[in-house]
Amino acid sequence: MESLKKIYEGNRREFGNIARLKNFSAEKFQEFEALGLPNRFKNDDWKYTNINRAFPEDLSYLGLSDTPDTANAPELDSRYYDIHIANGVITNLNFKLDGVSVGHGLSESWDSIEQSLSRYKIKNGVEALSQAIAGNIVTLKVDPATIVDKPIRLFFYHGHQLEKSLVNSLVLIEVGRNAEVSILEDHIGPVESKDTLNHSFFISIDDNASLNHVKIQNTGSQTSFIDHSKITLNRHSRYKAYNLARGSHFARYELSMLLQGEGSEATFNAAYTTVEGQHLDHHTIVDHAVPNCVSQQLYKGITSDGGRSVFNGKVFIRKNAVGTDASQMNKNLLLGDQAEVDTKPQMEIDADDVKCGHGATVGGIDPDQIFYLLSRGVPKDRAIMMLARGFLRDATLDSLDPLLKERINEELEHGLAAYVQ
Amino acid sequence: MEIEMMTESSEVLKRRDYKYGFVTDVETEDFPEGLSEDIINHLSDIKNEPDFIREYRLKAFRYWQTLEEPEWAQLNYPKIDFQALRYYSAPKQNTDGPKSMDEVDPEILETFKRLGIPLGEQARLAGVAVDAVFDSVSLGTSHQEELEELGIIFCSFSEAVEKHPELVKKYLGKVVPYKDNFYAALNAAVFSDGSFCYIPKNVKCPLDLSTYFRINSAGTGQFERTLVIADEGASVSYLEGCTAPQRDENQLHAAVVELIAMERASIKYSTVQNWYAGNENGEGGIYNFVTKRGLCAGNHSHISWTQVEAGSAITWKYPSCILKGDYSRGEFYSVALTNDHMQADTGTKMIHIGKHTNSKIISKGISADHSVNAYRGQVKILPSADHARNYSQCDSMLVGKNCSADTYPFIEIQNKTATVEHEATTSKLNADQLFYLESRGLDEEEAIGLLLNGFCKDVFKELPLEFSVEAVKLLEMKLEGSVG
Repeated sequence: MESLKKIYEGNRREFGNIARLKNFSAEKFQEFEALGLPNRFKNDDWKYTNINRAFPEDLSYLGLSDTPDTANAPELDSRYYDIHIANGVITNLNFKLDGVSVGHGLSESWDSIEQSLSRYKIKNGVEALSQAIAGNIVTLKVDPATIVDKPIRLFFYHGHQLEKSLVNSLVLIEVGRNAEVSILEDHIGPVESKDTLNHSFFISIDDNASLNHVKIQNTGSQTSFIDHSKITLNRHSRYKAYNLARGSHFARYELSMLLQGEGSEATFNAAYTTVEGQHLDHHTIVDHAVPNCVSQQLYKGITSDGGRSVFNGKVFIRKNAVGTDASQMNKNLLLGDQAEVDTKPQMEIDADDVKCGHGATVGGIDPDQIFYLLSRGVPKDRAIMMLARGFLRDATLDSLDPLLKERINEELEHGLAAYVQ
Repeated sequence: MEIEMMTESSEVLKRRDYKYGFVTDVETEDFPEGLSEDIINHLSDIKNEPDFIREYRLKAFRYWQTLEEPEWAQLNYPKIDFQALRYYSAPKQNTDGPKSMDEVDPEILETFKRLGIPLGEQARLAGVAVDAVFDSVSLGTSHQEELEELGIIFCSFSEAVEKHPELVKKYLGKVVPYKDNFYAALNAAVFSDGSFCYIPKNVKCPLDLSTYFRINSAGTGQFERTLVIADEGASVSYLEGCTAPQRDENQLHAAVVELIAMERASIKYSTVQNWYAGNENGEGGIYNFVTKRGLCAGNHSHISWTQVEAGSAITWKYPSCILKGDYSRGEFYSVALTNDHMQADTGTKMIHIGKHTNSKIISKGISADHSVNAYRGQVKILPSADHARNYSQCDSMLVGKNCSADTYPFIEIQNKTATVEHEATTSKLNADQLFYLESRGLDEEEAIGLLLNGFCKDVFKELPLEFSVEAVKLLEMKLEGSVG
């Protein structure tokens, strides 16, 4: 807590004379102090995850106004509309597009940002903290009826000295009416980095708009990764997301989806792999507030020796949300003696005319399947690999941009390689 | 005109008074309200208990005082003032107590008759041995001799303490220690009576053992304690059924049930619970906060819980199994029905410790009117439990627009050879299906019965026959007027 206070105070100094920002930040920090970091023993949502691992006492302050070190910056990729982000600040981008506006920094448009943020309720201390120390906010706006031809990539990389720092970033995405866009989030970082990466995404999808959203996280194996995504869907909008998690030794994903417009559809799939010493926690909340919406979740993960995966999904179907079709599935493959999987697929249903199902499975590889492959001359290593690959690829969304699918498969192969000795 | 009449008749049905809502007028010996060490000592004195029980009670009481009432279940009820409850209530006895059925207060017998409990000769005809608990002291126990021949001990808890202190001492609190939770600690401190059952080695109990609980005096909490032990190779089927009279004031029931199955032993525990659930405005009704747990201590042992929960204003119970022996099996079959303003938070815990342990959970929740029905369960596979297997299925049915159904499964797996499956679905009692059946000439009641029977079939088939029939009737009766 002390270190976080120092970080907050450091930030405040750099806000200079932007009074509005200072007030906002102070307000949020107060909220953080009141809420505190979530307690494992008191809060069921954190039963399996100790957030203190991500906030050690010696976490150091990373200056807001320090220009990120771009020496290690990767090159811009022309296959995407590429946006590079380090330490929450945009360092480079390769496009200027009609109908797409990108903003960042201690911008003047604070009014609209504050207004956007106020629409989302703060759930816990970590969320309050993210807002209290967010000075640089990246905004990405897709104007109504804009159809973006290539995926937009948000590329998060490591742009500072190697220290144990808290890297905080906050991204606001708005997709206008009838617009269509694909977004790829790419997270990388050096192996030696011991940073805590704290990302918040606020996404609003307007009527009849469509967003495909792929998140690939492959940060260094000693980093902690926290991700809050809050998504609002309006009438007849569509949201398809895919999340691939394999980096960092501690990761917590919190995804809250609010279906507030009738006829909206959300699909959320994820594939993840954990290896020794990794702790990976996915939390999802899907809130059906209005009638006739569809939501689907499929989370598939491989947990190997010494790894631990957690899944906690909650589907709310509110009183008037009749005609809802909600499904939620978490499947786990265990590949090691010391592996642990904790899964909690939950539902709270207050409407009667709905279709709702959920499920969870945990198990090892079927020995019959291995035997079959062995009998066909496939060596054991490869047999395991093939079955594991099939297991994970099941979650890949068919309707994604081919470029993104290719990228996903590449990453999956890297993830799987860890299981073959 | 016809439509009007129909709605009226369903309203009438809905208000149908609680079938078992009557109070027997028997003189009772009550304690003053409140709980203290004095009260506990007094309780021990009256029951003439050995020191180990008295000490157990006092230890539990001292521990209970350090605890706070749990609030995690998101149940909505006014806080209980534990000092305003009366902790003992026993029918006034003749100096030696009744020795045979003839000596039992005729009014009490009349009560049982109205409840339809088979006692005495009726019991023999029905093939059921009844250890009927009237408030807190056990009355006539039937089939005693037949069971004694086989070496089976089936008696009230007080009697067991008196006659078999060594067994009670060995097993009391072994599965549910008094430190387990708030209500288990309270029960350990003040348990009034209950049932005790011991099946010796390699004996298959020829009868379904049965206890009827009935809460009678106003303002007394009933703290039953049941201990069932099946020694190596033994098997037993135990039935517990409950009804209670109508009351305006809430009553607390905090029972503890412990089951222990040794090597190759098998225990089947079935419950039909239909306590008073309060009126249609949610006033009154029983609070049913129960700790039930079974220990599969030996290899190849088997414990099966079957429950039909159709009563109580609040039900808060999780019959669980600790699967310690290798190849042991735990099962949980449950139908929970809530209507009016009832709240049910029920489920199970399956803790796998031994190798090749197997558990199965089938839970069916039906919520109607303004009720809340939640399944909350845990499946935990420890690192030692190689090749453990679990299958869980939780289905909910919603009847009406104002009820809710929640599912909270906790699945914690620490062994890679485990296979765990969990699935849950939610549906509504379909008006189309009802219409179809009615168009074929079935009346509404029959149609609902048929659909319910189909939904709960997996559980009902686990119940002993006479319970199964009773259970279907009970659900039908409860849901009358809720389906529109």
